[in-house]
Amino acid sequence: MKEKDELFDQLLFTKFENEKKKEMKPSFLKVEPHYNERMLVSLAKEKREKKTITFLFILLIIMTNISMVSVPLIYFGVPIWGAILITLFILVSVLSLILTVYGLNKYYLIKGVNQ
Amino acid sequence: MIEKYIQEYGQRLFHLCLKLERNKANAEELYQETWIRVLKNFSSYNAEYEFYPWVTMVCVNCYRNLMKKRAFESLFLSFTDNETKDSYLENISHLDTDSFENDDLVNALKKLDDKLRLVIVLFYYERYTIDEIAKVTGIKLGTVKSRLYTGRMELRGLMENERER
Repeated sequence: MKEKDELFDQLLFTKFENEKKKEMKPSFLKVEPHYNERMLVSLAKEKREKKTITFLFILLIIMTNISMVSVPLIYFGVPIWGAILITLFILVSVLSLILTVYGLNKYYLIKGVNQ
Repeated sequence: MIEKYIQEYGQRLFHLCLKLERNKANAEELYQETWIRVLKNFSSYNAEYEFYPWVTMVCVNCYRNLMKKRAFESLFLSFTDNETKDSYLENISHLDTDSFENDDLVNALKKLDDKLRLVIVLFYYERYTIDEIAKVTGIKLGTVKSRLYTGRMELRGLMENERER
């Protein structure tokens, strides 16, 4: 058994070595695009901007939800602490519901893939 | 400054990315992310040591972050209507066929679990020792050993399956 393992080990080393040799050939695969410092800096900046926009967008959605719930409550005479509590309760309920749907969806997907 | 390193190690690093990822598009993303990270953290590189092990470490960290990011994104991907979901299920078996090689090893490697593939690639392809893999990946020595063992067993099975096809 141990001998068999060692043989397989050797086979893997040889196969990976062959892969390396293949990759050394100039015709094999060229790296495209060829990055330079300026290109990388602009890419990093672009990614950072994208992240900020996503974060602000999520923040905007949450704030809109809060205001949509709490403003009418305050308007109809509910005290501020009550409005905050109800808003938090609604937010948590909605988030739990979304997570449950995500979870079930994911479960179905994994089950489907495994079948 | 960094151009010199890209010129020297770019090709080698790209091939490592290809081995770690299941398809070329993901490998390109990992390759780009690695160089961006290298540029950001270049001041922390100690020039007394070799560059390639350091860049491998950066690449492995990026790979793990991308894995987490993709796992999170897949949550949103699954939140779709039934029609899209069914087509996704139909196509999922073809997702990894964007291959550039038809070798049994390469195909078997793509079917291997991400964590096991990382250790296998670093050990057999990059020829790092178990200690070095533990350092590069930040995984415990015992875990590296067990992943290497499991990976080897699974790879053997997968390669046999590939050959039977």
